[in-house]
Amino acid sequence: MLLGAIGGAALYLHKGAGLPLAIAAGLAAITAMTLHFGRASGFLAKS
Amino acid sequence: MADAGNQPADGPPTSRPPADRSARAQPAAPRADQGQLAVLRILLALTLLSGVVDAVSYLGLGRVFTANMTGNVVVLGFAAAGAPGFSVTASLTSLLLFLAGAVTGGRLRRRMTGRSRLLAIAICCEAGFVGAAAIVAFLATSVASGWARYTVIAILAFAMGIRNSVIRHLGIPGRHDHGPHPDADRPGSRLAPGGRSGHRVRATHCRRARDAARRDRWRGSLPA
Repeated sequence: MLLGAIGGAALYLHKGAGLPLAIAAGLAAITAMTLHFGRASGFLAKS
Repeated sequence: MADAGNQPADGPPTSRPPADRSARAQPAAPRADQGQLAVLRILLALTLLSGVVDAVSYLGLGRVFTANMTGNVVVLGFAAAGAPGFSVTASLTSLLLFLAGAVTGGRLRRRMTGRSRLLAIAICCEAGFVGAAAIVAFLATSVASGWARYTVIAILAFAMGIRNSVIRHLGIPGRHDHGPHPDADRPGSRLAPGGRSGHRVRATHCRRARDAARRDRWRGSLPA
């Protein structure tokens, strides 16, 4: 969370609010795909 | 030569003391499952995302948190006391939309049975909402005031409420601390149809016992 806050603050100060939010949306989409196609899906299903 | 901390080779295999289980080098220690590590990576990514969202909301939206509701309650207290630079309206908007997101997450998790699918859909919703907030931020001239500010606050807080409610339901340890309290999203979830009331209390106790057992199993299988 600290790293995210540092990165988000730096991006906001240099590029405004749009770019860090777009990057966060992309990161969430990648995370969702990783969850769907990766090993975490099977682990969550059986746990 | 046998190591000083290990059992001799001719000793009984089941006589190992419980204190030795914490050492990673022991062959009998359980190895971390790849699936658990994958879940941990996903949770780390979500935590990083929370930091980005909170940084943008606090710096760009006028001292309001949209993911960390503990901080938002403190900010709301500052604003209520009349401290300069804080807004009661913005903090209340974030808090109420977070609650609405928790209600939506509760509805979502009662309609779905698969834990993996539930989490994937919650993260997809989050990606969509955060992307919509990014579009609003790109289109507006400034997100520090006006309609754009409250629109972005509402979208982000709603998305974070959905995510926190769903992850709270999954019972993964360490991922329930974004609300004002670990149980803070439960009242919102209880507002959903079929929420906990009366005869559902017993089911809640069973679920808590199951979550505790799952948490113990999780901790026991992680590397030391």
